[in-house]
Amino acid sequence: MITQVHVGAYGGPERRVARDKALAEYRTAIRDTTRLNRLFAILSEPAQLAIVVDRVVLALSEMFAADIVVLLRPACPEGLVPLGAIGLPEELVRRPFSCAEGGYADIATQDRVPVLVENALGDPKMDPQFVELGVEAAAWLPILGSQAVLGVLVLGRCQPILFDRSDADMLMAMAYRIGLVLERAQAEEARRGLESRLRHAEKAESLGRMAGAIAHHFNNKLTAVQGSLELALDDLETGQDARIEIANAQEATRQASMVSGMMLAYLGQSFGAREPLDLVVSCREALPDLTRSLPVGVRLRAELPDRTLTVRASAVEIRQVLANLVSNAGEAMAALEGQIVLSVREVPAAQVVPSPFLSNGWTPGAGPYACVEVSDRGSGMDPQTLQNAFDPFFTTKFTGRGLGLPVVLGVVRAHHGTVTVESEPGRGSTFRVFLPLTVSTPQAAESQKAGPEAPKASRPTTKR
Amino acid sequence: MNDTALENVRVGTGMSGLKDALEAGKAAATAAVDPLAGEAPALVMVFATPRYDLPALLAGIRSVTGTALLIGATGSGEIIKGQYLGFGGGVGVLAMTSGPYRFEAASAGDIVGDLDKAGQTLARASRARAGSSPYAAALLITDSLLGDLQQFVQGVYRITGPKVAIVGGAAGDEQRFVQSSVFHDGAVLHKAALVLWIASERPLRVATRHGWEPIGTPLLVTRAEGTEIAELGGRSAAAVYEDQLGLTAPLAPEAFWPTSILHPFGLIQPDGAHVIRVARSKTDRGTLMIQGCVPSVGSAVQVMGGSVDSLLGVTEDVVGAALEAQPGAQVLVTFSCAARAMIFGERASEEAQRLQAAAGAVPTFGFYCCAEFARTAGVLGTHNATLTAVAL
Repeated sequence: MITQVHVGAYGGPERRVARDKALAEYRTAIRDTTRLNRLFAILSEPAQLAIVVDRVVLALSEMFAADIVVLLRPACPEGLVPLGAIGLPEELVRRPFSCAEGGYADIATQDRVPVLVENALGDPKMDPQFVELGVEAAAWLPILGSQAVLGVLVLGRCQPILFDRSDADMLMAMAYRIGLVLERAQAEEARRGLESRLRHAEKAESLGRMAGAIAHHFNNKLTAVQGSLELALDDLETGQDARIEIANAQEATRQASMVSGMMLAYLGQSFGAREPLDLVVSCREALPDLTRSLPVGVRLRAELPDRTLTVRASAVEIRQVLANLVSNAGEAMAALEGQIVLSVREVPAAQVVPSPFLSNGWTPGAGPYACVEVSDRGSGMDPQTLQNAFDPFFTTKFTGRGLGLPVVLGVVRAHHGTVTVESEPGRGSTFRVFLPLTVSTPQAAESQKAGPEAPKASRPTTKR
Repeated sequence: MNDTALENVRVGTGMSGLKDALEAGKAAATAAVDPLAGEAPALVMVFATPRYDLPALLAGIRSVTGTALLIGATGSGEIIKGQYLGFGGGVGVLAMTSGPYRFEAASAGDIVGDLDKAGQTLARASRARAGSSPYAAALLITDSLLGDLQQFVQGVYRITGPKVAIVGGAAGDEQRFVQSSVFHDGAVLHKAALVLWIASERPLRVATRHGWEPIGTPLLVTRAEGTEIAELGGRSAAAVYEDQLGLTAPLAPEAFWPTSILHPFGLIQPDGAHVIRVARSKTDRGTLMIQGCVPSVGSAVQVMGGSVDSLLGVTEDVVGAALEAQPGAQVLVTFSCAARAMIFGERASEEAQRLQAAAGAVPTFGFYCCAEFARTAGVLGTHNATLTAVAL
């Protein structure tokens, strides 16, 4: 560390110039040493990434007198989202930033160089959010990892005090260090996530096997009970009181059998036949039953396309999914009047997000998906309720069994799809079920049905 | 908002040195309310000596101002329209109508722990009550004994962003550092903080100057803990500080404050300016306890020096900058440091006089605090031994 500088004795003009130059260099060296030292101290802290990033942006704001410091990370297709920020008013923190072609974020990440901006207020390449905040001078720096660009660091001043070349050099050195830490943290996070998912999956698989075995066992026993009850009923004379008790026992057995069936559906062990199925037709056919299940004052509006959307699925199970989702929406709107919207559409794989409710590390395939959406403006769910919504036997309803949504999850999982939910208390919920579309047209589906015959005909035969 | 809108703001100030708290409150409030010509005040600001029975003082004021929003604090002297009330001097009251502004406040007492979060919570709550506006100011009043007050300012800034001016001061107790009080409506709060949200149609800007000059070499803060600087350049902070002052023997504990008040630290800023930090005492471990906000590890500081004249010399600059930012302003709210008043000694009343002389017909009102809040660039908004002001 520089603690002292010898500038020589006072002398003539030349010596004074040399002294001033030495002093200026000394001050710059002190400033730069200070800045780097402070950043390295923060980056070395054994804290969570979010805390380290927060301290980094605070320190950079202080060190460079920047009113705004934002560390942005890519979150396509929306653009860039803040990983850490200071100076962004609360309402802007969650808004995505533009990474449009030709904007400064794009230039900094494509060219991998710092971009210093003067007159930012009238500059169309500046993100409008910074302009809105009155940023007059800015510095955009790519955060480089060992292989990819990990994000963009943006510093903004709401005064016409420009960032200079030495600021840019210093900030690039800092951005490089930040990149290394980010990369390490992301790798560590990914490793922890994978481990956690594996542990969870192993546990879930083990529990699933056990629950499946119990449900199968119950089903077998219930079948025997049901059969015995029928036999006992046959032996009784008409009008005997015991017939009523046996009928009650039969009904209880039927309900218990249904719960076992739902458990198997949740576990993906219902083994319904999977065939090419047009979701649009399935929804259209289900509409009368779905409408009947709704409380008075609640209407069902269907937005179905005039085309086929074919998935490979069990018609019975898909019908169950629709019934559960619409019934759930109806119950959420029970005390209100209004409508539930059921829609089906095709979406590209890029728009399908893995569900937090599926712990099997599922990711969408390359092809397009069908999205079945059920949306209501009912009571909605708070984050805690939402977190548990797909857990078996979790219910917020007085009369509920807590198996409607778990069955949806189980069926979707068994069909290699996913389910997502957006919900807000008092604003309603939107459930989206994504199922992989088969590429086949209805005609192709027909020929697919005939498929097993064709190979038989063309199979080479050997005559002896 | 135009100047005409500001002309609609009616402002009155009053003060009292009466010993009886209730009567002092009534007298100061009556004088403050009188110029409002019968209009109800939208905001009442109170700065007072901690020697009063404070609940009685507030009861006296509110017997005159009614349920109007009241904010304030105890301090180390008050500034009222060119007059300076020293230690035990009494109470100053400002009453003003809203004109084009909307005033809303949120406060909390007995704050422990995360000051950043406390700042966020109070800023959010006060803003929500005031509603949206193109511009605003957040006027902060905190207990000076809360801890690192920059954490609180930082929390407020997380909510406001740069378009909202942040200004204010930390309550004191006439330099005893035992208990200071924050006022909100009729409540006297300790370990407390308050955010007054001033919603405005045009920008509000804070002015700040200190008048200190560096006398030492730049030093790196290499270790800081809590509210203490432990090491400078790897050595005991107290020893390095004494070296910088050219002292041949360590300062005795009782001699430290009279010396450090004249030689605060200047936290070096990118543009060469300094943000002032005062060391309140040195510990047996050779660390320095800082008032209000500790420079972070890796910061560069310099020991500063100044004179009564250099410190008073910034008064006109502060007033000029504040009034220039708000043409047509009807009041200048100002926060100076208790340390400055101590340095001024017998000339302590000069700052209040010069403030009013520079402001002309615009009344000045404020108090001497234990940390001044003024965010002008970056996140740092906490100062010591500094004069700040906002014109409304």
